[in-house]
Amino acid sequence: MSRWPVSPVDYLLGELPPEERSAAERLAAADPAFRAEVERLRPVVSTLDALPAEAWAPVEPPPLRAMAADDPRAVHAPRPPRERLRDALSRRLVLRPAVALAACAARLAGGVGLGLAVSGGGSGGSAPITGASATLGALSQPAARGEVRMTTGPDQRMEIVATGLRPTRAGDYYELWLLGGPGRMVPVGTFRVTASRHADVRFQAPVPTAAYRFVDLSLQHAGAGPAHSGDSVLRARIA
Amino acid sequence: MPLTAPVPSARLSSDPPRARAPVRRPTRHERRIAAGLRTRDPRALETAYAEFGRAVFGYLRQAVGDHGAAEDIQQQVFTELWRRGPAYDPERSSILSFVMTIARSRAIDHLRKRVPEPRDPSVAAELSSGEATAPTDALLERWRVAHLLSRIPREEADLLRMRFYAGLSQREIAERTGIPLGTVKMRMVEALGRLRELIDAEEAVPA
Repeated sequence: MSRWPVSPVDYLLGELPPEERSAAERLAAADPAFRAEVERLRPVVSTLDALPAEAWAPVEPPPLRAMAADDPRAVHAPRPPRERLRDALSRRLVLRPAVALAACAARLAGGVGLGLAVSGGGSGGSAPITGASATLGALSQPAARGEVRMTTGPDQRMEIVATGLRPTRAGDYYELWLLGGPGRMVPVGTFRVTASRHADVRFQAPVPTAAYRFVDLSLQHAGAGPAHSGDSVLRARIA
Repeated sequence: MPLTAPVPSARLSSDPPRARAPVRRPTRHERRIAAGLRTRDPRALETAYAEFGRAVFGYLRQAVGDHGAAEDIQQQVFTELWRRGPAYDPERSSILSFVMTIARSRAIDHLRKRVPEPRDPSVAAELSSGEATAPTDALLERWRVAHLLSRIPREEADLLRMRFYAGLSQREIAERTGIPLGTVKMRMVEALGRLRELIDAEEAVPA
């Protein structure tokens, strides 16, 4: 199989016993052909060793969509219902922050707090939400603490109770998010915080919360776009 | 990037410098895709997507560290391939290198203009190697090699998977599969050699 007493591949794979390994090293020093074969295959072995696990079982890419839109001869196959559903959901998720932002701007102009039910002092309005809860850990505001509660079943409501939040300045607001896998973020709702530094806010969750792994509270700035600001104040794992 | 600019080859970064690279000879398959792109045949794009879509998407997911963004960039990459396709010259570079170079450029564009977003902490931990914030040439190389694995015979690719993914020794592979150890070793030599040849073919320069 190999024209040498030891196999260059066995040597590269580290599968030689110590005495044969020494023999291979002596051979590499003395025999240019053996050395060349080792050097030819070494980068291949190194690269295979470094391949990410995903490379051995690649993730299915998204379907090719309307790539040839600039070409009149391009044929566009009808997209499968599942994909259309996913896109509809994406649009919903994209539009929602825009709506929230518009609402935010309108409310900010009037100097009124935001959210479906906001209380700077702790009154919640309707009965408190009971169900799964998770403690929110502080991120960018070390003094902040909180808890998030969620109903289960068809009535997907969420409540965040937090203290120690920095009061919102003009143009700022807090926004609650659900985080799923990579790139899956859903805005839930927005609110402002007064000098009491306290918030007790309830929202109707726009999606089933069970499909998400984290709840994240961000501090947002009006006019900076609907995307997450990157300033995460509190976060909890919910699944 | 000018269309005539040389694209990074599949040359492995750990390779020693060579006096002279082999002359590039496009495969019939590459010529067919190139001809299809030149004549604006959507089937050529579909073929390219079927062949390179996984490697490009795998690279993008790691390069940008965000599945959703990778999906968007994936579409951009193949839109660009369609747009620039008529100018693709298979004599100058392989189509794999051409597509991966576009992917690299678009990934860098995305990372440069990205507004910081909270990344799923568990994903951040998985990507703690730093590849999520700075796509390196090594990452591109790995995905190019990952794609080349699809071009070697199935039994050889399975063997490499068992060795480099499952972490089995050749003896353990023989025990597990019932294939004689000598055959496992012979196939391993052939698989690594074949992969090396494919990399060399990618690396070849225009005549």
